[in-house]
Amino acid sequence: MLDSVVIEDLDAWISEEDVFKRPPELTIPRRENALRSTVAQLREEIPAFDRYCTRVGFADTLERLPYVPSALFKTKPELVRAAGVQGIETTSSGTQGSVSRVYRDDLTLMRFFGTITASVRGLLGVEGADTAAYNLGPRIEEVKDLWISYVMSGVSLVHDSDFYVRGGNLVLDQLLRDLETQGPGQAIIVGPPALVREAAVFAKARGGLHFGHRMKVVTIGGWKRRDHERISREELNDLVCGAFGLDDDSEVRDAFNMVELNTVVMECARHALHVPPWLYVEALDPRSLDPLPSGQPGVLAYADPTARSFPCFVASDDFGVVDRGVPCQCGVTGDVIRVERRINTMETRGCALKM
Amino acid sequence: MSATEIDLPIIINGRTRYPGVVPEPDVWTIRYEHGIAVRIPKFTRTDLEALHGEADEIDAELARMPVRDIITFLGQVGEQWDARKLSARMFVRKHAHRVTQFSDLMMEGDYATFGHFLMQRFHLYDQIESEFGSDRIFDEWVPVQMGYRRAFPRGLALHYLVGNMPLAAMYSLVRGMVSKNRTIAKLPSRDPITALGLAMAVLEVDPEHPVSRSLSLAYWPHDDPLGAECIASVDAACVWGGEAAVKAVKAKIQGGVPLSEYGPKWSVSAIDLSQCNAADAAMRVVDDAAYYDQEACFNTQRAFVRGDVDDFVEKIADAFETFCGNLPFVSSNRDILAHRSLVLREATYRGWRVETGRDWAVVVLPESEIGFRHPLARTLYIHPVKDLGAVARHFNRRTQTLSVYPWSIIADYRDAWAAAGADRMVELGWSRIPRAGFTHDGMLGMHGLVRLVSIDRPWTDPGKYYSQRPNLSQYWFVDKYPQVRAMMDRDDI
Repeated sequence: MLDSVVIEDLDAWISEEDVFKRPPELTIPRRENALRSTVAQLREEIPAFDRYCTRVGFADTLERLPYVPSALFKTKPELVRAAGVQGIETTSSGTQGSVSRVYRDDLTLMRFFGTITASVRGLLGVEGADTAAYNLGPRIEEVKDLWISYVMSGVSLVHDSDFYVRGGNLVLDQLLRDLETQGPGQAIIVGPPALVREAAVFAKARGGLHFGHRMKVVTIGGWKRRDHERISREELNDLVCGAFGLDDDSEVRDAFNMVELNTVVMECARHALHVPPWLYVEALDPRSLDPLPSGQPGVLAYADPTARSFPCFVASDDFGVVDRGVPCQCGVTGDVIRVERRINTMETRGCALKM
Repeated sequence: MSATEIDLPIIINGRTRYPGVVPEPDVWTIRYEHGIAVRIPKFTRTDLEALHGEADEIDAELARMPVRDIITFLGQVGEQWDARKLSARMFVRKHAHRVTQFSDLMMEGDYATFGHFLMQRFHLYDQIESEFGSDRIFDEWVPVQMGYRRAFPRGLALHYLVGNMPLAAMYSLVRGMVSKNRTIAKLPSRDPITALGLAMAVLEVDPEHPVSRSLSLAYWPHDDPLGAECIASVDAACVWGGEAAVKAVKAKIQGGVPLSEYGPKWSVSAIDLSQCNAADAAMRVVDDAAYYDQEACFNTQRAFVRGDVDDFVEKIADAFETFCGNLPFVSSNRDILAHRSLVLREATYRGWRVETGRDWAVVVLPESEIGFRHPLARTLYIHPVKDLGAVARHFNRRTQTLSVYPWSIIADYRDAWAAAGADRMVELGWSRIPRAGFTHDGMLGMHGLVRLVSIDRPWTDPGKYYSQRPNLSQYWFVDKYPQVRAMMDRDDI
């Protein structure tokens, strides 16, 4: 049975003010209720997930969450979607060799955008209709259902946005002209790190800009096919600060998401990736997939109650660390994640072909 | 050097150079996630110049040395290796398993084979005879029909090694030594110890021996320009490992340089439980699957099984426990462990039977799911089938070993299996012990390392092919043409 009270509470929660400032004694029971309710609903609508929950010993105590390997969204997406729900198929870029397909209904999408708004307000500190957003990506209609475009659009959604990838190319001249004529209000640049770097190099070569504290730059996603251009986070922050004349690197943030995750996790001014309170992240032991204590590196897994059309209980392909209850200097106390690197599933350690 | 750091030498033309005698910037440090680090001097331009600068002298010495003397020398190495008298032997004993995170007992088994293979002369004589028809081929012109044949070394042979199996390093290097080639071995970060240990043992027995002076072993990263230059200068190449390594070497070697590719390959088993004892089959298939932690090309990844699979899985679980008790899975590599865990969860979600122990797993999945990804790491996929012959449709150019049980069924299916792509068929349980006369990935291992030169007999000797014409030269060079023209003119076309 769909627990309507809990579901309504989740929707209200995502849109509340100061979601990052609530004490854990309030947020933890709220999250656990949402997770139980979501699992129950998904079990009713996805038979394979229901059987899986039984096989992995899921119980309402939430001691062992039914994390689904993210690979299933590539290999058998039809087994991880709720039956009879209308919606769209969002996709990954396929840089790893195959495309993830995640089915999202309207409510799931709305909640996703809600999670972004919560982080933009609560961590980025950008509010107000006079903020201009410069989106270093294409309009969603140009790229069909590529998920990163949704994420980037989501960050700039509440603002007056323009899109600077047209016909597959970053239109740097137009971007620079628009930035130069930007009024006295706040500005936000959103883009994947390779394009942010490209824009910064272009701006710097033309003398740079001087935004001070009036601009935030948010990177989303990885370097993907432009990995050969990768520079360290510190180098990128320095480059961006110099090119756009920002006060310091607290104006440059990273946001984490993947197509199988329905919540965006954003950096605060201290560059900590704060987990929103409705989302539960664990690092799992690589051998057993049992949860590890705070601070120990493992396979990152996400339990996200905001998705209704697919099981957003996902064991990712990333190694990382979850630090519990971190009292961050930014003023937020809560769980913080560090994403270390991809799990190497393709490395050849011998002459055996993984078949 | 700390307890977790191991200093390795680079070897150039039989001369060793350790990290302690070179400036720090000229040393590579390979750090492993399990905490060990190895240090080895960088391969330099001076080294590359020495490889080629001393080539003529070393080649000449090797050319003067009959194979029997090379095998005798290698036999001395093998005897002292086997008697554990060499410090190089103890060097690999002490360090190799720490770096590779293989069971020390498993590696010890391979190192024992090193000794036996080298000191028992027949192994190398058998291999030469098997591949060339005569064990005199390197020293004498061997009569073959209307000519003579002799094998000559190519010159500088690259061995682009992989560290998943000590025996592979030995096979590669010894094939090069016995065929009188000079060696440049590119050491693998997975196991830089084993090949170096073998070379150090050779040097320890006699550093001035021509075979010792023919040995060069170095490490360089995949994208190293000097490494690429070295690869471009070799006369023959053997490359072991994955697709990336094979492609990288292929792209760098010169035209006309023979390349022997060993990998990547996958292997399977075919078992008819209605004709054999399930517990016996389980014990055998587990050895084929789990030895070398399934990183070797001949390790069974999938078994096609006819008969009562449910009971068989129970037997396999028992056999895995016994195997892992003897040879524990000691790797703490988190990529390997996470990959296996996630794949098994995926199989669980798919609804397939998944049985696991701490260090092993069995998954029973339909034959139609042959494409389901495999994580290696002692994971055995069981595909129940009704017709073992029909499984040939899954074979391809990457299929290597097919282990079979009971052995009697080989006669029924071998033609279909071989035609479909299986390179080698063996009795279940014995895939890692190739028998004399075996072919390696559909080839003969030393052929890529030699030029087979032939001398034709003169035409005064008709042999069995032609009767003797009274004046062959007059006929062949002059008279034949008008005769053929006259015959063509008579054709009614």
